[in-house]
Parts: sequence; C-alpha cells; structure tokens
Amino acid sequence: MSFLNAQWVWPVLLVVGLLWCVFLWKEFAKRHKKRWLFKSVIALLAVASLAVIYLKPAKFIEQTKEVGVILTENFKQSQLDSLRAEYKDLVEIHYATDGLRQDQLDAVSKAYILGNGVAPYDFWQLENIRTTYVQNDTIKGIVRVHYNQELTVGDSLVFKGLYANPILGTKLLLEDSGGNTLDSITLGDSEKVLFNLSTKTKVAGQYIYHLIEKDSSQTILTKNPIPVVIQPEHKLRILIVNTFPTFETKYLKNFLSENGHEILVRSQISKNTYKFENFNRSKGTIYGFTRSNLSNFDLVIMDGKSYQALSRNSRRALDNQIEDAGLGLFIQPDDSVINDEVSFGFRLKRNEKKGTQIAPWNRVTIPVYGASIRQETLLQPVFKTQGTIWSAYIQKGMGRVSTSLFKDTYQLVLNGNGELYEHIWSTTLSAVSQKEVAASQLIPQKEWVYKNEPFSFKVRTSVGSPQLVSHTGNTIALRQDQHIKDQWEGTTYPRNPGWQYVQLKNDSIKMGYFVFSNDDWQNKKAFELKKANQLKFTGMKNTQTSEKVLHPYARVWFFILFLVCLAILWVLPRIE
Amino acid sequence: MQGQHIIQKYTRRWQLLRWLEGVLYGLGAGCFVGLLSGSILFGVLSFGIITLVSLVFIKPWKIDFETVTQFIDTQLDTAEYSSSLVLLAPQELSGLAQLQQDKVTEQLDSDLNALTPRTGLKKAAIVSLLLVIFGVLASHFGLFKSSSLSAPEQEQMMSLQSVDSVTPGYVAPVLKDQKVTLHYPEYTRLPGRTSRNMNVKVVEGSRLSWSLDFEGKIQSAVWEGLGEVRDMRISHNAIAQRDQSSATITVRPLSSGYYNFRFTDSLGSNYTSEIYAIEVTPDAPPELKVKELAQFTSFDYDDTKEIQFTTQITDDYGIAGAEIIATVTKGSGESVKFREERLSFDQSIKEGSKALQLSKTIDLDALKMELGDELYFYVMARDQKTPRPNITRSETFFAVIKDTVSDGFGVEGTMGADLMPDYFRSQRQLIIDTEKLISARPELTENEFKSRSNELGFDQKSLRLKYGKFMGDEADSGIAVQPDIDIDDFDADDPTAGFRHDHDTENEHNLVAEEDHDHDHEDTHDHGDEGEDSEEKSFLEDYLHNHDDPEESTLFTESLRGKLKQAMAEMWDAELYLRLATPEESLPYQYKALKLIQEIKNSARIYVHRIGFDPPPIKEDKRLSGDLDEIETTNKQDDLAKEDAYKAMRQSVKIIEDRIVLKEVLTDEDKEAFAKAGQELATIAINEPAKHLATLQRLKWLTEDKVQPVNIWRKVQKGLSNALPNTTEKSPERSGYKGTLEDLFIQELKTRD
Repeated sequence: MSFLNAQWVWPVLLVVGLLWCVFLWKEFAKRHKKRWLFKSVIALLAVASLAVIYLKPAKFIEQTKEVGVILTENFKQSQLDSLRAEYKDLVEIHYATDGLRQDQLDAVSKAYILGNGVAPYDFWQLENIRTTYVQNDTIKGIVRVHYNQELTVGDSLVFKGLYANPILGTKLLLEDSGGNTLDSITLGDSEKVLFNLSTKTKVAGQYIYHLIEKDSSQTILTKNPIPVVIQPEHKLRILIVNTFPTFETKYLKNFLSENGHEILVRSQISKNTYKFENFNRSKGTIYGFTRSNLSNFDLVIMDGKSYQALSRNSRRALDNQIEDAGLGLFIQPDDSVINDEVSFGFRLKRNEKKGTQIAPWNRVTIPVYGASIRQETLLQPVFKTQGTIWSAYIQKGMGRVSTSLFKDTYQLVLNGNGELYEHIWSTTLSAVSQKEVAASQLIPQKEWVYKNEPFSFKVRTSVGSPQLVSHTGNTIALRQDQHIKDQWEGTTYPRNPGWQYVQLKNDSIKMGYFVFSNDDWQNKKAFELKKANQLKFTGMKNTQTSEKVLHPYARVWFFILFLVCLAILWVLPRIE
Repeated sequence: MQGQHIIQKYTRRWQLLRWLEGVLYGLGAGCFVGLLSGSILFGVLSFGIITLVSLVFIKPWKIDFETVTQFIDTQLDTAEYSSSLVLLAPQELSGLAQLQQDKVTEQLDSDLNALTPRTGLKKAAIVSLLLVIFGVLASHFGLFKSSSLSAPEQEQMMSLQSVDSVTPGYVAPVLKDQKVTLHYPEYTRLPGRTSRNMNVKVVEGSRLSWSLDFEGKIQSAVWEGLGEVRDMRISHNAIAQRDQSSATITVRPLSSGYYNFRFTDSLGSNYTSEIYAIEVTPDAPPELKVKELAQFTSFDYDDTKEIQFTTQITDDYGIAGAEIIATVTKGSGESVKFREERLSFDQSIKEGSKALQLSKTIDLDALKMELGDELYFYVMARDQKTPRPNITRSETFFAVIKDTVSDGFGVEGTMGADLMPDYFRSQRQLIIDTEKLISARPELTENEFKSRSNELGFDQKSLRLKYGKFMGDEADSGIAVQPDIDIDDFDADDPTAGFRHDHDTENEHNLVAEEDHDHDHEDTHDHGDEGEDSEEKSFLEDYLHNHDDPEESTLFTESLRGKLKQAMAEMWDAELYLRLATPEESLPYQYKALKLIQEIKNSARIYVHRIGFDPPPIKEDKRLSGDLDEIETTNKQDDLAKEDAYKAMRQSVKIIEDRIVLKEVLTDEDKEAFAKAGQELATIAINEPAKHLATLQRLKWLTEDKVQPVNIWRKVQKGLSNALPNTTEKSPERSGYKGTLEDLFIQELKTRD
C-alpha cells in the first residue's frame, strides 16, 4: 500500500487532524450525550476519506506486459492481420501518425515493427523493448544517390545513383534550376541499375537541380531536388621558379594566367641574372625567399633543381611558411631528380611505364616519368591509377608539398586534349594551394536534412562563447565539447524546406545547409530507414516480461464513504 | 406535223437533261478538287475533264427520235405503241394509220409532259452534292493538307505591354492595325508585299515600312532594333470625334536581327511591343553548269580546232550577263606569254531572265592559236544585284593544240648531236670545228677549205658580236640594235614610262580588264601585233642601264670588262685568221678567247658556289668566357586574364535564382545586369535567332518596371543557362578551420619529422 501523492502525507495528516479537532471542539458541549463518541469516529472517517481521495492510495501489482506492434509507413495489412491472430491483446502503436507514446510503450515488453521502420532519432525510446523488425516489400525506385554538393564553376556535377527494380522504359532526367534537361538515361529491365548523370556547371551560386523520373509514356513519376552549391573560382597567387625556361612551364603559366591567377615567373638566365614575368599582377621581383615575400603567394611552383639549389635561409623561410602559414609547394620533377631517387621528400619507385590514362579520358595517354610515388604515412595521392600514384602531396604542418610524375603535359594541349590538361593542373594545384582559414565552421552530423527532423551539427569557432542564430532569428542552444574547447554541438528542427543557414551572433559568415521537404527522395529515405532498422532490431534482447506497477485504488469508494459519513452526521441530530 | 414537233421537243428535253447530268458530275468533281487543292485552276480543269469524260459515257447526242419513240411506247400506254407513227408524214399513211396518228398525237400532247425521260440526273445530283459536301468538310478540317505545305501565317496583333509598374487607370491607346510593307529591291522585280505578320523575311537590300494605327493619342513611338533606336513618324487625325494616331517608319535592314516598338501615350505611360525577328536572306549568286565539255581537250594540228559547249545559268532574281573569259598562252617556261580575251556567247543574253541555256563554239584558229599554244577559259555570270552584283565563275577548262615539235632531248636517226643554230656556236665548238677543218684539209679542195674557213670566221664574228652586246658595243652588222624607246609606249601622263622596264605591265594590254575598269584598252588602241615586235626590239634593255655612254653601260665590274674586251680582241684576231683561211694561226687566239670566256663565266658564277660555313677560328683562351655584361635581368608585366564574354548572363542566372529563393524583388542593378545579359545573348542569338528569341523577349520584360511572374523568371533562367557555353575547369577555394585540434595535429607532425 502506498500513495501516489506520497509527498503530501504529512501536510494532509496535519490538515485532517486540524479538521477533526475543529469538529471535536464544536461537539465538545454535547460530550455527555450518548453517541458523541460514535459521531466523533464518523467524523474522523469522513475527514480521513477526504484525505485519502487526495493522496491517491495505490498498491503494487504484478503486471505481465503485452506484445505491441509499431505500425510505420508502408506496413502490410496482411502482416498485421497475422500478428492480430497470434496475439489477443495486441497493442497497436501508430507511429506514422502519432509517433511513440510512453504509456503504450510501457505496456509492451515485445514489439514488432512493420513497414519502413522507426526513424533513427527515435531508437532510444525502444531501448527497453525487445523489438523485431519485420521486413516489408522491397522498395522500387532510386534508393541510393551520391553526388558532390559543393562544386567550383566549370566542374562536372556527377550524379550517381542506384535504381532498384526499375520498370523497362523508365527515364531519369537531370534538370537544372531553370528546367533545362542536361542529361538523361533510360533504364533497362534489371534488378538494380547503377546510373550516372553528369553536366558541366556554368554559373556560381546556390541552385536546386532536379532529378526527374518519367515512365515510358513521359508522365512524371517523381521530381526530387538536388541542391548544389557552386563556388566561384578562386584566384591564386602563384610563384614559379625555374632554373631554365621549359615548355612545361610556358604552357602552365599561360593556362594559369588565362584563368586569371596572379603569377610571378622567375627563370634564371645566367648567374644572378633572371627573367621575371608578371601576369595579372603589378611588376615585382623575388630573389631570396623571406617570410614576408613568400606571404604574398598561395603556391610556389619550383623545378627540382631550383629547390635543391635554395640557399639555407631561403629554404628555412620556405619551410616555415609552408608549415606555419600553409603555403603550398609544387615541385616539378625532371629526369635528374628522378634518377637520383632522392630529394624533395617523396620516395620514388622506378617502373617501365611510359604513359597512363585518367578516367574519363581513357583514350588519352599522358606521358609519365618512368617512376611512381611510394605510398607513405602522410602521403595523400592526388592522381592514382591502379595502385600507382602519379601525383601526391605530403602534409607539412599547415601546408602541403606536392609533386607529379606526369611528364610534358603540355603535349596534351598540343594534341587537342586541353580539357584533360586543365583537369590535371586544376586538381593538382588546388589540392596543394594555401587554405583560406575560416573563423568558424559548421560540421553537419548528417548529410540529408529533412523538414521537422532534428538536425544535429557541430560548430567549430574561435569565438569564446558563441551564440548561434538560425536564419529565422531564433537562437540555437550550443553545448561545448568536453575535450575540444572550440567545438560546440547543437540541434535544430528546421521548419521550412529549402536553403537555410545559421550564423554566429556578431559574425557575418553564414553557414548554409539545405532542408528537404518530407516528400523528397521518399524511396531513398525508406531504403535507408529499412537498413537502419534492420541493423538495429535484429539482435534479441532479454527484457522483463512482467513488472510491479503501482495501481491506484478506485477513489470513488472513499467518496461514497465520505458521503455516507456526512449523511450519518446530518441524520443523527434529526432523529434524536 | 404537230406530233413530230412534240416528239422533237421531248427529245431535246431529254438530251438537255443528259447534258446536264454530265455537267453535274463535272461540277461536283470540280468543286471537290478545287476545295481540296485550294486552287481554282485545278477546280476548273477537273470540271472540264470530268464533264467531258462523263458526257462521253452518257452520250446525250445518241438520243434521237427512234430512242424517244421506243421509250414512249414502253412507258406510255396511251401511246399504244404507235408513237413512231407521229413522225411519219400523214400522206404516207393509210387512213387507219392517220386516225391512229391523230389520236396518238393528241394523247402525246396531253401526257408526254408527265413522262419524265430516263436519266441519271438524280444520281448525278446526289453524287455531285456528296462530292461538294465532302470537299467542304475536307478543306475545313484540312484532311489532305500536309502541314508544311500551307502553314497559316502568324498574323496576331501585337500585344502591347505596359512598361511602367503601375498600369494606368485610364483607357490606354489601342492598336487598331499593324502593317509591314516589304519593298523588294528593284532588280528583283518583285511587287511589294504587305503583311500583318511582324516577323519578316526579306531579301538583302529590301526596304521595310511599318505602319501602326492606334485609337487614342500616341505621343511618340520608337523603333528599336538592329542595334539602333529610331523615332517613328507620328500623324494624328480625328475621325468621328475619336483620336486616331498612326506611326510609320521605313528601315533598310542590313543584317538579320530583332526589333520592337516602344510607345509613349499622351499621358506619358510607356508601352513596349514584343520582339520580332527580321531575317535578311542574301541574294544567291547565279548558278552555272557547263555541259558537254571535258575539263581537258587536246587537238592535233590537222583537227578542226573547235570547242562546243552549252552552259546553263540560273539565278533567283535574274541574270545580268554572262561571258567566257579565255586566256591563251604561248611559249613555255619563263618566256610564256598570256593573252586574255572576253568572249560572248553565241546567243544574246536577255537581261533579267532567271534561267538561261547558252551555247558557244570557240574556234581556236580564230583566237590565233598556234601549235603548242594553250587555251584556258571559264564562264562567268553575274546577277542584277545592286550596287554590287554577285559573280559566279565556272571551273576552268583547258584546250591545247599539240605541238608537233618538242624540244626534248633525243637521239634520232643518224644525228648524234643536237644541232644548234649556227650563231649559237660557242667558242669551244668553234675550236672543235677549226681543228676538224685542219685535219680534213687534205681531203678538201682549196675552195672548199677556204669557204669553210670563212664560214667559221663568220661564226666567230657572230660570237664576238654576241658578247659585244654585253659590252654595249654597237653592232656593225648582223643583229641590229633598235632604238630603246618605243614611241607607242610613251604616255603623256607618265614621262618616265619609256625609261622603265615594267615587265609586269608589258603584257597588260593583252589581258582582260578588271570588272570595274571603266575604259577598255582594246577600244582605245590596238596593239595586236606589237607583242611580237617588242619581243625582238630590245634585247639589251634587260641588261643595260643605257646612259648614252657605251663605256659605262655594262653589267660587269671593271676587271671583267677588261677581260671581256681582251677576249673580244682575241676573237677579232681569230676571225681575221679564219677569214684569211689560215685556221692553224687562228687556233691560239681561239684558245685564248675560250680561256678568257671561261674565266669570266666562272667569276660571274661565284654566287652559286656551295660550301659550308667556315667560322673563323676562336682563340683557345677566349672560349667559354662569354661576356654577359649586356645581359640583364628583365622584368615584364602582362595581363592575360581572359574577360568572360558572358559575365552578365552568368550573373543574371544567379540573380534570378537568389531572388526566387529569397522571394525578393528585382533591384535596378539586377535590371542593368539583365540588360547587359540581353546584349550578350544577342551575340549568341545572331546564329540561331529563332532559338533565343523568346528568351530575349522575356529578358527585356524583366528589365521593365512591370513585375513579371516567377515562371517568366524561370523561363529566362532556363533560356540563359541553355545559351551559356561551358567553362573551363577552375581551381576551387580551399578553406578550412584552424583550431586546437589542428594545432595539436601540426605539433605532432613536427615532432615526428
């Protein structure tokens, strides 16, 4: 026996005592009459029953838990029916409409999940329940997609996906935000089709491309957004140092300067005599490297000989600038460097190869030096074909040092493969160029954010105690990481689909993300949900099958008792 | 005779009905065809044909009294099988027959009107009616029309858009009528055409006049397009108390492009029309086909040297002329001479005809062609286009008269040597001949010997004279030197003409004058035979600078001159002894002369010596000690960054996206960007006007004050991104965050190094 309002026992007892004392005092004059004692007892009963009504008496009773079924989207009626036949008191939880309710969950010790499954952010609620996920039919449609959400102007947007169980003649179209069809594919009849749509980006900005699915009669089945952020090109400040002029450098500097990069080229003519060429920048010269003159550049391109011939001071300045300020260094190899196999921090492996190919230019052979770069701990490959590394960089402090074993790439331009040339050099040089250091950074904890679903993210910022504001002006609470002091965590529930951003108070930098509406990418969402549910709810868990529950007594009896007592007290004086 | 009359009338009636039947068939068919084809001509034609055919089948003329009476007999009981009686004369009949005739005549008179002759009139009427109905239906629904055959011209009235953001509250002027009149260039002889369709297609050089009628007053109207803005002429008049305005303008478009109108009404509100296209099609040059002629024809000397061919010339608007340009070449190698002639066709050319079939027979003899001469010719045609006609020329054809003698080297018959003309005998040959003469002396008679020696002497003289020309010596005999200045070559305007050696122009009078030359050389003076004269006239001209003093007139340096003089002196002596019939004594002089001439030849040939370059030797101590004092550090500056030609277009695409996402309105800067984007798009649109017309139009709307719906924005964005060319791959910005974690990482890296 226990009370639900157990915390009120003492005050209630006090009040009961008080009330009874008032009654005794009022009847004190009639204490000599018979029934006084009887009346006092009745009064005590009445007051006590009032107190009990308030305190809600309850008792622990053993309760066996029921079996529940969680009905999520797309559940099969036949599966539910067979469960109903199996279990008499099946607790039906309608997840798709109501979500999970605690009382219902309390009543069940074992649950089946039918349909697509429970969202991962609700898994914690099912921790104490032995849950089994019952699979439904396989999903038809686009179940997996992959593409790069952030691109630079001129990059190809490559949209890869997996279409499960397509119907013959289904057509997928990639459309830009204006509605131009950029690429399309007609699906054949097979269990799974990997598709690949691509287009060249032309304009910087934030755009929503669309993937449109049409059946063979050209009816639009689905139209799903593909948010893309296209960054404007970045102009680099480049220093090229050569011991003698080469065609490779000549073409490289032409390519870079035509793309608007600021370039200073220093070619040695003879001892202490140089030829300086300034492209897209004001006239300047550079002789010995110092920290200050190197700080004017994002990237230094040197041939192997120049690098080896650097004076001690210049070398130190260069190394410091790389490590501390994140300057990029690209070393152009030559035959002597390759033959030495020593040199600039890269270890080489000789081979007999004369050329290689890079996808998607599979027909073009790029001439190479007869060596490749050895894999090392800190080495990151940039171009790698079948395990052979042709181009790579090594992280050195903040900066990177890179090289490439492609030889005489200018021949690609001469042979009409300018696009490949551009690809090689933009990729190589942008991998190594100096980073822009941002004051704060938003790290989303999940790639696809849906409307009304929790979106957790981490914010890294140098600001002491940051205050994050969503784009509707609401403050989002942040929690500091225990170990990393400049890292903060937060969660928001975006209400509107589309481009959203968060912003640090007193900071202009906006950190953006895209919110999908709940109808977008249904099949992909369902597929992922199923996968997650399968993973989560396959192992059997032992849970209690019964528990003791405080079961309140029906209070109406106390009320009746109270009424009876009052009635007696009312009637007794009348019949005397 | 009354009965006969009745029968006759009936017969005529029957015949008429049958005729009518045929005509009905024809009419039906004619209407049907006419409606289907949409051409009256076809309708009339088929009416005639079908009427004729059906009449041939119906044969209304076959109906005569006999068929009529037979018909009456079978059809009309009251005729009592005696209708044929009526036709007979009563005198020929018996009494009973006469009675019957009278009776039948009476009966026929009363009954025959009721008897309809047997015709297919009803059927014909039904058939033709059906045909007409079907024809009407078919033409109405365009059943048999191929869409490309007759696409209906788009003749929508222009829709005027208010440019201002606020649509004025009062009644705006209403466009009542729009007209564009095309005036084709005169030479095309096409009549002007007026259309309501504002997208026009015109021939180069046409004039376009627009006339727009408004109800309501228009303050000003502007025609914008093809890169210019022109005011339109406005005229006002009031009809029935209503203001009427009309605006007109005439433009001569030089290139394809777009245009639109912009109006301001009396209260200052602006309106703009849609954008329309002007497509200027160039006048095609004439087309030429030369038939029945091989590219290369050759004739033997005894052939009939005639070339026959026909040429087919067509042009879209009319041919102005055609002719054959023939070039005759004489000689070969460096001495080749050209003579051009302009030949006309055998037929006269009717100016302005669109197709011509012309033939020509070229007689090579008439062109004064000789053996070995070649004839090149082509046909040239021009059309009537003004100011500059289109000219087409055919490919070139060749004709050659084969030369019977060729100068190729050959060993023929008994001749072991190639005999050269005497006077070309060289000094060496003279020596050989002299030695031969000496050795042959025993077999020769005295006279023979002397005569041959004398001949050799003459040859020696010729040779001397030949060399003498180089020296500027006046010849004493033989090859004459003519006066240098040809009087005919004197030009009053150019006193130096005679003193120059204009080899380039020497042959000019033989060439056909350029097309735009006004005067014709052939008319002014005929140099016909002069070419041959001038060929011989001044051999020296080519070598000399004749400044009157023969001593100075030479090509050679002093030492050579001396040598040559010496050689000639030797030749004098050699000739002397040859003339004296003592060749033995002549030989030493000849050898001396030969030696001198060889020397002269060799000295003159020094430039052809081919030897490698022998650099002067460098002293050992100077080697590899290059002086670099003058080599200095150079520093140059260049701006090679390519300006993006479609910057505003790219900008506009982004602006539209941003504005849509953020639900903002367009700012003035946005509109400026759109206007620029329009200009950029126009450069792309030149090549494919139809593709980008709509985008240009909408882009223009966006630059106006009136707010456009989002779907128009989207369409503009779509059009722009479609038109944008791909860009090259650019380097992305690498950005990152540097915090405590990174610092730790870098620290770790450093210690590991």
